[in-house]
Amino acid sequence: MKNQKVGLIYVSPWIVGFLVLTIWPMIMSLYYALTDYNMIFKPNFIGLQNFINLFKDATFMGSMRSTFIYVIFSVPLQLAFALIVAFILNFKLKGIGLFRTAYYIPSILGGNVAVGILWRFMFQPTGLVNNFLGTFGIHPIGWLSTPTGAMTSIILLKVWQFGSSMLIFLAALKDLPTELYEAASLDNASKWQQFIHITIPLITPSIFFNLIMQVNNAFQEFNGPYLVTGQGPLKSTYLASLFIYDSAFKQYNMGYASAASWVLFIVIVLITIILFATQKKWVYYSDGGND
Amino acid sequence: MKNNWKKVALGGAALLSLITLAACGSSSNSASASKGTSAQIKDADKSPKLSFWWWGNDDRNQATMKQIKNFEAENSGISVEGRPSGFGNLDQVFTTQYAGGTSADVMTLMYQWVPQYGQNGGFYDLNKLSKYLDLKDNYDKAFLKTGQVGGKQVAVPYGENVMVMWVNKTVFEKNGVDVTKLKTWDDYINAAKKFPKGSYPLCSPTWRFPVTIYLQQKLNKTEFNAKGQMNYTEKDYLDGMKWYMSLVKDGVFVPRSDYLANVGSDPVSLATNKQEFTGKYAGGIGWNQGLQSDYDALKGVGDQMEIVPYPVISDAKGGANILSKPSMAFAIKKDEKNPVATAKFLNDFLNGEKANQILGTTRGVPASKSAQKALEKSGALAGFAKDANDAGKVDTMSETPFYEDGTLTSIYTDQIEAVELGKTSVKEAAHEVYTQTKAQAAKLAQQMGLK
Repeated sequence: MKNQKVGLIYVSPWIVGFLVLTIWPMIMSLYYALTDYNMIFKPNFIGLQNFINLFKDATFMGSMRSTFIYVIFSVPLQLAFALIVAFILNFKLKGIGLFRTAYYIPSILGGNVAVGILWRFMFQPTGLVNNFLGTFGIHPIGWLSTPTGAMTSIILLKVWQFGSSMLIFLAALKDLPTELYEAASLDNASKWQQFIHITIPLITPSIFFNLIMQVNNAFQEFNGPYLVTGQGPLKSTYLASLFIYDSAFKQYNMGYASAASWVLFIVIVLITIILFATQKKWVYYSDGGND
Repeated sequence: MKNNWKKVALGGAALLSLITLAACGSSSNSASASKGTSAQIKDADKSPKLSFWWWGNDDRNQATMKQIKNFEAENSGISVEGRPSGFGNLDQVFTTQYAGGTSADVMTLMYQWVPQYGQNGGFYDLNKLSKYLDLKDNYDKAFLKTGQVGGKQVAVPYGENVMVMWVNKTVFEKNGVDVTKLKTWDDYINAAKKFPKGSYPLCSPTWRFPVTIYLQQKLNKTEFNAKGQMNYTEKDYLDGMKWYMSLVKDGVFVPRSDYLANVGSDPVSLATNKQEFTGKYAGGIGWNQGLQSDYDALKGVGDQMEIVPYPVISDAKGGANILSKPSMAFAIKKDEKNPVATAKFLNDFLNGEKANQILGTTRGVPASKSAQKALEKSGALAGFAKDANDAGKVDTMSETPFYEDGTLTSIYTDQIEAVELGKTSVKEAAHEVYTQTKAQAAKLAQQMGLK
């Protein structure tokens, strides 16, 4: 009992931080979501009106649509890229440490201002990407001036930040038992067959973990579109997080922004539940998934 | 000994929790300002420590910090903490400071914040500080009114910001265009024909500016009246938008697709943009008090920038009818506990001779008569700064505080993109601009208490 108290006191800074900086703002945002609040006058209770308005708001629905497109394309691409790079880095190569660091750097840089500017330069009409494509005879693409081009450029920025998923895949690949590959080699299985039938099934827990994390991150993506494309042509890259930000800090509509945040939160929770429900069908746990 | 360490660690952890809680608590325990007339107002502290928040570039920051030091040297006992910030996210920075009760004692305001936050005693009533803050002799009455809400002077407007047209004379001449002969829109259409592909005579960060000016000239009415009601009809918008689109087609204005590819989707200063300093965007329309940075950037690459007369359409009902508004304003915190010292600081900043010689035109040209005299004396009000200021001399501030509201601007932007990218017709876009602008204007007028 005494030990329990001591433990509680030790973790109290975290508990207090969690309650004050996470739980309390969440409760308050739920309350504001039910009000008309502009930060100047007192919140005025309006029930579910903000939620009703949101579903009638073409801009919000458009931002949710853009967010889904962004998630559907960026997450699988990022995971596939991370897995390929992790697979290559798992070989015993000279200077492998340097390669691992180099591939992890984009994740550390993240979507900061410098990267945003760099990305804009790369995707300009006469930028690096179009120059590169030009060497293959491809005409310049309006990356930032067309809806599809703008969305592609921010998806590529997300894919580029594959470092954290790659590290998790790399750790999983290093833990794979070698005897399975030896047995498969004796049965004349090709490297590709080994990858598909041994490697992939055995790392499904890591794929599942990365999938959950990246889906959650992608739904909340802000920096990429904010720094590189803004709303994008025809609001094509106006993701839900940008809508929330603009509603709160440009239109001072805190109640509306809070309601939009809750809708986004519920969507993320629902998708996470669905993903968890599917894991029995495709995630292989060596211990059967028991603790 | 081991137990002692354990106790210290436990105590530390508990203390950290309390500090976290305390830090998150309200900071609204500052003393309220005394009520009453200027003569009765006293400071709470003997040696007041003030703070001043502004935004801007490095030039402005350095000049302001120097002016603060000068004020501190001339007013022993008063210290001022400078709180500079960049140009980005101003709404967010200001709103969170204001709502969290952490605003600086003296703060810089955008025009629309004056009625938005100045209602119901949102800022200190500056009339109460008339003994220390000289507004009466230094400002034009009508201009000063733009800082009033409900009859109270809640802010001091700084300078007059007027929409002017400028050109990169060097690039125009390189393309065989004599800028002294640019008078009408037809002159610009002819000039555009001489520009190489991918280069344009004019760029406007938002097409809202040229369309509004066109309609102001044609109808001799601003977009909104003093109550925030619409002055234009859907037909007017259609006319203005068709006119603008024809100029885009003739290559006078930068097309939206080019702007998106090279600048981005937000209206920003082009002073450091490659398109501007390589001469591809060879001119533009912008607020006169913010053009110095464009002038300096072009001068840096050996180009000469000049203000040119804003073209007046052939069927104009009344002159150039360009847009005008206060460039920025300054207010004092509503519950200021050292109002006398704060007023002295603000007075020095706005009207002080030495202060204004230090500040120069880093915030454009101030409207204060004393400040302008100080600038003339020091030679700072000369050259391009003077040209830009003179070009913007108007009798009244034409725009309502919410003219530059982000939502209103984005209504136009969304529609021009839809038209230019072939998603909608000009007629449909004009309908959308009209209906959405009307709804937003009504909302803003209610929020700002415009009656």
